[in-house]
Amino acid sequence: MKNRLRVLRAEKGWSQAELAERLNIARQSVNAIENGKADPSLPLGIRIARLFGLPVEAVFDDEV
Amino acid sequence: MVYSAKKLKTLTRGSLALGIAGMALVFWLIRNHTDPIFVAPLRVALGLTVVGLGVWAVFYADEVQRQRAQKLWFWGSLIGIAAMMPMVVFLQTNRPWLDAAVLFVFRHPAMPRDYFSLGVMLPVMVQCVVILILRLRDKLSPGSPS
Repeated sequence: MKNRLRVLRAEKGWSQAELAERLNIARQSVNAIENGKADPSLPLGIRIARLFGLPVEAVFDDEV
Repeated sequence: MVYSAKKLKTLTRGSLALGIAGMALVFWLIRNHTDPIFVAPLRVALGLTVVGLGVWAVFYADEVQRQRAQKLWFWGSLIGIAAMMPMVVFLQTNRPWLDAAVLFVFRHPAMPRDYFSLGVMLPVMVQCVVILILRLRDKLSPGSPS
């Protein structure tokens, strides 16, 4: 699943470690999501979207 | 490399637990191994430490880490079993090699139980090696941590 996490994170000026801290996950997990190696669950996806103040579909794109 | 607070906490606790287990192991190794009253509790303690660390690691990992670990273990095990097949067929059809392998691993003339142990060890070892290779490949694959 594609996502705009890297772009949104860059806009906020956060590092992967900072974002990981805010989401209470490992930095490696943020990296995996950004690179499309892992898909977050619905609760984590919602947490990510809320953190950026956006709807889930503005962060994640289900079209391959 | 930058680590998140969660990762640092994991590394610190893991290192501490491994250090304690390591010290216990050293303490155990320098004592008389034939005394079951001394050896048994330490073996139990070491076993519990290892199991405890494993369980703690699973529960402490976040969902993405678990998801990725599950995938690695699935594919690693599958590829490991497939990779083991030629080895097993070769060893079964070449008995001298099988005897030599048992002698090499167990360091004494082969006994039926050793063949059984080798049969159990081989798949597990090959699976673990493949999982480690996949983990390494996963670590080295392109990504852009920042």
